[in-house]
Amino acid sequence: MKAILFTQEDTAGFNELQERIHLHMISKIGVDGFKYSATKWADTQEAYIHEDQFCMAIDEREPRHNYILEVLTQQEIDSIQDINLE
Amino acid sequence: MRVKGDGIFSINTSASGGFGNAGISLPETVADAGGGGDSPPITEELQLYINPDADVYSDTGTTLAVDGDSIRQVNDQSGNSNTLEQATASSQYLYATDALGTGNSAFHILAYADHMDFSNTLTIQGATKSLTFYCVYDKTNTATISYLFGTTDGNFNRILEYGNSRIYFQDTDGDSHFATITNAADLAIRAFTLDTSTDTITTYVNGALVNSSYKSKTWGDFNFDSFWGAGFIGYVGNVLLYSDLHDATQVAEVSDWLNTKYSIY
Repeated sequence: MKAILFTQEDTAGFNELQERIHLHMISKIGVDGFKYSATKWADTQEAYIHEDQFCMAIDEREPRHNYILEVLTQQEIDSIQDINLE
Repeated sequence: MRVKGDGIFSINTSASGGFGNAGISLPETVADAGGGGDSPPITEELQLYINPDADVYSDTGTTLAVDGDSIRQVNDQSGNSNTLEQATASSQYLYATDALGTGNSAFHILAYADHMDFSNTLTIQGATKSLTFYCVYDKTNTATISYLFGTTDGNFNRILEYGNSRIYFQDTDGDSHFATITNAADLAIRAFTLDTSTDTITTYVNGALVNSSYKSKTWGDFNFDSFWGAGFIGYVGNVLLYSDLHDATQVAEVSDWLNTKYSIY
């Protein structure tokens, strides 16, 4: 799973990024038939915890993956990690 | 008892092409499109009937999901309106047609955060009711713990799979009891029963008894908020939950009915 990790104290950073992704997804509804029906992209209450850090899932399914990359900064893209969950 | 034909029958003609999600809706009744196209052979005390081939939506109940869509809502086919929802995009299942058996749809769970929640808590009073749980799934990972029913806070009240080899029932007080199953990574029709009067858990795979286990316990309420997640990666088909104990004959009857759809054994 690809994810960006946040410390559990950095809920502000997590929420800012999830909202940025969410709003971008909403703006793409209907583009080439894109469907999106959600009230948020991710939630700290439901986030998977990996090594004591929040995992912000970076969806690898197209077209969501491409849309996520469109709103991430280069620094954020560079921070994407492969999380081994097995 | 709920029986087919009691209510208003409607068919959503905007159903997806090909297999899956026939859009059949039977308010106040048990819907078609289950095993073999019939209603479950036992409907008494049926609390939940989830069928990936009926009433799966990419939004809040208007647009039927098609192959590859993220799932926003799934309607309960038992007539009890135990709707499943997921408003968090990164936790939504994917809809997969032609995924289980021959041409049957499934919920494709790809990530640890994926799960769905009940619109209202599904409560079964263990002090007076037993449980029988049927599920068809194909688990593709080897996670130690994954819950089949659970709570949104991750605490007690769970039907839990542990290590691909055990099924736990855990009620309000958190004390748990388990019985073994055969490898959860194999596609199978599984049935788990909890007899709260004799404190016995019994497991069946493809209609055949696997294990029976006893533990003295006073059972409290089961309050399920969440459906299938926290470690499970794979495909989920039909799921039925009864607030009643099914004996071996009844388990075989329902399992055989599911097998008319999935052709597993």
